[in-house]
Amino acid sequence: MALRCLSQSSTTFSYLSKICGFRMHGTKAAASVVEEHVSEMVGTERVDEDYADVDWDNLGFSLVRTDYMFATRSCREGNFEQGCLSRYGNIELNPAAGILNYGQGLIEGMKAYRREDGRVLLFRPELNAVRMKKGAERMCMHSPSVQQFIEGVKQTVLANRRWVPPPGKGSLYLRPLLFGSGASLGLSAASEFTFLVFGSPVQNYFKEGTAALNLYVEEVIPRAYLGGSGGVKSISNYGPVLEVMRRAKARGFSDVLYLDAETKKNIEEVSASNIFLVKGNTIVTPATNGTILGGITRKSVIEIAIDLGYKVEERVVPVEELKDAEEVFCTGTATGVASVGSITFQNTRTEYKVGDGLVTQQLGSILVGIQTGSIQDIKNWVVEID
Amino acid sequence: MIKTISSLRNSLVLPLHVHIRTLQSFSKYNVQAASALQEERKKPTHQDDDEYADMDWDNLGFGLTPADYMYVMKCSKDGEFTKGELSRFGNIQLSPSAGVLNYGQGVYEGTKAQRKENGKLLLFRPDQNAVRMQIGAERMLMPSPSVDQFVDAVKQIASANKRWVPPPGKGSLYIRPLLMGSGPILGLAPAPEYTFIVYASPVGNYFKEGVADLNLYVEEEYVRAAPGGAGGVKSITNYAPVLKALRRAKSRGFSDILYLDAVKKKYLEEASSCNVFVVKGRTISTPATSGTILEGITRKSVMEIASDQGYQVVEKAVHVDEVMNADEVFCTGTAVGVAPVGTITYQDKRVGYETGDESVCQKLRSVLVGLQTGTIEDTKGWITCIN
Repeated sequence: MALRCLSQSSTTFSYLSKICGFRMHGTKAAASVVEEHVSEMVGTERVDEDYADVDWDNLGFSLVRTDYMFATRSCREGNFEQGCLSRYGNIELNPAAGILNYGQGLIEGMKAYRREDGRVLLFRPELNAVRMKKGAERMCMHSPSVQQFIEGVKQTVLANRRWVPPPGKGSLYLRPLLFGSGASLGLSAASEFTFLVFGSPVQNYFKEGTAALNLYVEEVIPRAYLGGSGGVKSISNYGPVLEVMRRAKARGFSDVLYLDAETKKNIEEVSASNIFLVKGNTIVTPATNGTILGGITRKSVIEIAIDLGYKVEERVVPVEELKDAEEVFCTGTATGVASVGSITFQNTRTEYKVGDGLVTQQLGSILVGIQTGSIQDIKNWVVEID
Repeated sequence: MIKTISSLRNSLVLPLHVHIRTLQSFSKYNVQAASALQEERKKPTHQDDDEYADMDWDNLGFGLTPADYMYVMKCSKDGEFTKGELSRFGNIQLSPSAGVLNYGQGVYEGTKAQRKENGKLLLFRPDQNAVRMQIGAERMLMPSPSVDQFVDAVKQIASANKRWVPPPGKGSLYIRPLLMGSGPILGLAPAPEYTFIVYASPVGNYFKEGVADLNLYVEEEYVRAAPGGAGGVKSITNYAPVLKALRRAKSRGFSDILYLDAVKKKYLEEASSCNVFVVKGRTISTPATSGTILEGITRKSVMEIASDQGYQVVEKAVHVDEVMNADEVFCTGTAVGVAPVGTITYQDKRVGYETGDESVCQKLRSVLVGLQTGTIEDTKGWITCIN
């Protein structure tokens, strides 16, 4: 009965209750549901298909509708119900929901990679879980436990296995989302929260592909400020910078590098990635002091660099230091480790070394190697999910 | 269904806020029940002909009691808003990858409809909200309804929900226009489609203190807005980040928070959902709106009323020391009205202010309320009368 619901429904959140009458516990159950579902779809889809019908050589970073999403809600005491999968589709929200009126929401970003042997890998998912928890505390939200978060992500990946690109062709980008779904009129925290995970196959984040980025230093509009929410992955950090990004892109830049709000003298980060400067054997990145998002790619790259013998400094980075760097790169789940070819600050354009054999490429290839399973994972960063 | 819930509420001996929560938890948080509720409400009932909805008009707070109808209008990124229409209040459908959910791409407004003694409904300067939403939409890279479309939607909402507009003197119908990026987007970019919604709820006093004086706390750790940010527009992104500070202040017994500027941390900005005024002698000062402060419509109106009454009205940088030395302090906002501040606490120092019937605050408040409820003649063209 539940399977018929899965195959027939256009799937709104209201179907969740029907499906959850047949709750799917654990990743095995999710996998078996998917297998049975696929076998039911004879005639409408190819049954033996390992992969979804996607042009894997031309993936960008746009939303591709996958098969399933995962969702769960909190109850008044703050615990989250056991979540379940449903067909990817619209959700229902009260117009007075906290997220719609007061921006009460957090996002995460993760990727699932297909290894050469076909196994699917997640990269340090517990760090995303912990980061969401920390963000929830800052934004007066209840959050799923680390275990519930990881379980939700795993179920989403497994159920959408055919959307994980072939090895080397990209990854399944995962978007865990936590938001105030309960309704209120006056300004207050919602009393009910929804945790949702959906995915989309992706390759390169920037339209430049893997070509080096050209950044613009924004002096007027800050991304965050002390006492604000910049240090957590709140949705409220993003809407206000759309305008800056558009202006920069219209002028030919790939993205924007923001300065601190208080003095406008120090670099912080890019719209959706952290930034690193390389000079000789030293790698420098702005310290996370509350305004900067503590990236998981950032953290991993720092560790890889230290292991390789580089001197890594996390500190205040005055914008003047951009002139002296030999290499610059950005890090992020969506962006990966991306070379920066130039940065323009107050009409002065500084160019950096790009290409093979450089620090950026060295760090990037080690990270990707670990994430895709071609380099041995001695740090237990990688989680195999089936 | 409404009648059933209301009768249930009336028959139980419980405080009103519990009734409302019961009503909400029964019908609004549970999606299945909400859908069922939606089905029920579609059937025409004799209630549509009643003059008033079944509410306890003497005990309205600021909880959500959704009025029957909401208004929905959509637009593509490069298109125009068209075909707005009323529908029964109920859940909306959104893609999980909607811009508003993932990147906070949304702005909202707040306005009120009042019922006049003769039964007509009055709106207060809805065109100002319309323009403010347009400014906010532009800042957040969203298309917006035209001023005419916005005002028409608000009028339709007030008319269609007439029975939810409280009797004169008991409160007002709070109207919430909302503009959001509803289309799906994965990477950080503007949504490809937008939705404009208006819903409403009858309300009384915003603060649980009712009309009693407010006690404010000057916040030094959390900041509401920074220069260059979105603080000057009514973006949804300005609100969630202050919930923590607000919750902390309320738990310590304060009504609301006064925020300071992000740079020097010495200049007054505004409270969580209202502007603030400082009175010293015949001079009324309020922080200038230089991009971080929301330019309130009540604020603007009160400034004009005060000026007409012969006060010297000054928009400037207001140092926190000036606030601590003032004669009176009051807050203004659509939801809060003109609310007197009894005390402000700053760094463990608590200062008291004059309040009461002879205060400047009360004088300005009664003129504003008189205009809004139609008991004072509207010579400025601020009032729109409908029905």
